[in-house]
Amino acid sequence: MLRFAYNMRNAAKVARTVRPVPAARMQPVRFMNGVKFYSSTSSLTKEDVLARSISVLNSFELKVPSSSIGMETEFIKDLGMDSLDYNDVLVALEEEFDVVFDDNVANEIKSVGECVDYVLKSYTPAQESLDPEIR
Amino acid sequence: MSKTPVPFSPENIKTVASLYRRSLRTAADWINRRDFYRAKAAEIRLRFEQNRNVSDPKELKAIIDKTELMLNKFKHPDPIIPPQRPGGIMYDRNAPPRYSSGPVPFSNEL
Repeated sequence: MLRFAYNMRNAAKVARTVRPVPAARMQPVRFMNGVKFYSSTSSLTKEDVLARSISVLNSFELKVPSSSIGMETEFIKDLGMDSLDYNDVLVALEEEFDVVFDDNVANEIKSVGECVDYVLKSYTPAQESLDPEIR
Repeated sequence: MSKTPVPFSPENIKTVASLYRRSLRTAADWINRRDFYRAKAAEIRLRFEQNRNVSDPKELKAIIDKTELMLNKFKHPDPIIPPQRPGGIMYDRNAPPRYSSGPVPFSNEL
């Protein structure tokens, strides 16, 4: 009985100290702020693609050191590849980036930069490809 | 099947490059082990290299037609297509909606 009275007094104290929060100021509970479980924007940047392309190129026999490869480097002229060599590179890049170099595109590509641009153009992050209106 | 090609012309180089890429993709479709695929790719490369210096248009046409025939014969029924590409499993799919913030706070007050 005594304990009950004591509890009642405490409960009253708590009720006095905690003021009710007005509904308008209530914020939704956020789960793990700042952590996203999806790709918000295109996660590929030009530098990423170039670096990964160079690492793919490193697995081939090159005439020049890989540090000198840039966007303007041409496969046939600068890297000393023949047409089959550079098609090897294209197929390896397809595997790396999950893109497909269509025939008319692949036949026109001459430099590393054109490859990088095509990869960036045809890369679609999983969710961004959707029209927000249909959702 | 195809027109008579002109040996060593830019058009012929493009045709052969296209055939070579298709061969490599077909090999990758069938072979799921990296080392086996590399061996096959080397073999494909060797076969193309053997016919590098063919200068007779008729012979060249025969070789290209034979390659086309082989590509059609060994075409994979279920080739590897990147998911987002046409024909891929995620192409044109409507994914469930996503949200970056919670629902708007509900309130009856005006």
